[in-house]
Amino acid sequence: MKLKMMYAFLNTDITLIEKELEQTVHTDETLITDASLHLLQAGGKRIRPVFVLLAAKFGHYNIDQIKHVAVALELIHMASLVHDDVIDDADKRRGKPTIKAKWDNRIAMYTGDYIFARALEVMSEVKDVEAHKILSNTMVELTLGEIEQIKDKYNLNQNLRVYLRRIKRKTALLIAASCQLGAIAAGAPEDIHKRLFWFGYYVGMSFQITDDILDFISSEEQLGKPVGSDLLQGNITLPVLYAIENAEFRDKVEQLFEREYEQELINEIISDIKSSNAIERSFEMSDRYLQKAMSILEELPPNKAKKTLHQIAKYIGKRKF
Amino acid sequence: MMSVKTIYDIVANMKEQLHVELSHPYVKKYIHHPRIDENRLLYMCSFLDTLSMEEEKKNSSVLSVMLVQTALDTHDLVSTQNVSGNEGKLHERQLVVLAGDYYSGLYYYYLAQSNQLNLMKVIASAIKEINIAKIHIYNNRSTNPHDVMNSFLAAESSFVRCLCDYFEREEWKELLKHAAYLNGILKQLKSLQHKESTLLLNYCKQIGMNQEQIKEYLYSYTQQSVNIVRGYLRSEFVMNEFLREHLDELTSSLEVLKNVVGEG
Repeated sequence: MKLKMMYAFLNTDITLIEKELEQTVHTDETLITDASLHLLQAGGKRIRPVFVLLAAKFGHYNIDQIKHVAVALELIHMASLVHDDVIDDADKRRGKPTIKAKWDNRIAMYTGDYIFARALEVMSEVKDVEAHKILSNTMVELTLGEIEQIKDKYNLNQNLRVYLRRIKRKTALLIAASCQLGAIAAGAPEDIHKRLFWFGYYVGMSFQITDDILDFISSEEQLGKPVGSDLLQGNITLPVLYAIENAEFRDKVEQLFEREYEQELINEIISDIKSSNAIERSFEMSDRYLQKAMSILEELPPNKAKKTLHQIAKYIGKRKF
Repeated sequence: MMSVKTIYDIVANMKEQLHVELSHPYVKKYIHHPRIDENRLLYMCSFLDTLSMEEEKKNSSVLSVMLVQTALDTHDLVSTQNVSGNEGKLHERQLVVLAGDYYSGLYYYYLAQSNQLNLMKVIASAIKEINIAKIHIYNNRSTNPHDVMNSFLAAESSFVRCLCDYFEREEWKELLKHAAYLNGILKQLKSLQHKESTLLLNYCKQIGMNQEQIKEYLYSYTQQSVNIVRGYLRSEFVMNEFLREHLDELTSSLEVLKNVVGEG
């Protein structure tokens, strides 16, 4: 089943969120509006708003209240993508030119800061201080994760714990916050929103590991960027961490980092990773997180949202792009 | 109202606290520690000192505004040059982006911790206004220079204006708006002198102004603000001596420099 089909029963509310997102970034300064809409209309899974809405089904679901959290979280995600493209010096995202490529770095920085400000303005409609403590902490952690990623680039001496902490900060915490804040905004009891946090956390970990695997096994067309981009940028992801246990392979990666860009060597490295057991072991790790997410889900009261969260988690583990 | 020494101590303590907050061990190894604008800090501390609110909340308000101001200033330093093949330059740029993002996150974190959600909204609105103004300056190469100076005024004074609006202090708003603007102009003049590039100076250069024309252009937009600030200094308006001395110095130095340009 396609991802969107799984939450088709939320379509009216998702359409509303989409409209709110467009309205929120609109301003009289046309360049900011154009740049923001350029990213917004490039698509994306909108997985964070979906998690917010589904988690809210465990409380008193009122879209007029919950939409603030859903819109704010997607905007925060968007703002971080705009700045990420400057960090990665990336020209394409989802197959389309990035803001920094279409305009320039400075426009990307101002647009990202503008979107971030709009996110907080929207979020300020949520009056629960706990929700703000969670989100603000998540945002600080998110940036710390990005700084760690820069720090750990090209470092083949990092271990699994460092990798897991990095992806926790970089990806899992914002998905966890989406689940927890959706429930908080709907007034769900503490035991429920804390469980939803953990569900989101485990799904987020699995999601990022899968993303890191797909960087090697997917196609350029599906990824919207060259295969092996993460490694080319010096990011040591889980498949690489497993593969460099083999000394010969480790030497090749060291050569790649030391030399100029050599397509032949890159192709060899990608092929080696694919034929080693690194991909399989990475999938196993991703799966372990998914199983943890499923176990948490078991502890939640039965409803349609629970069933959908189950389907989405399963999809995330099996997705191909 | 507190004594001069006390407001001086408040500013000094806040500066120290900011230094700690702005110091990320890895980031500071590779990029310059951000400059803290002590004048802006003085405006904020002086204004908040007149309000009857908990010290902790005053503290988190100043800290948050200064953090986000530094975040936005840091993002002004992100280069647009092509750095492909130059890992060092790319690394530096990456950290400049992330340092700014980190300081922004901290602003939200401190206001959430101190339960100042309404203020968080006010500051977010100011961030929005500042970025719109900056894009206006950055992209507005053909429009008249008067509009650009209005955007510069917005970018320099949004935080103090929003704070004064929030606490409903109209009389402080007028003073601090013009003080922040003049402070901004003075910084532009210093940057011009040191051949540093800024958003506004780049605009001036792009529309073909030379060094002297830029100076004249900047000074031509100071007189009204100088008069307003001077008016406050002559009036019965109550402000701490530290701020009074600073404003006197600020307006005088702009006037002196202006006369030098006029003679030159």
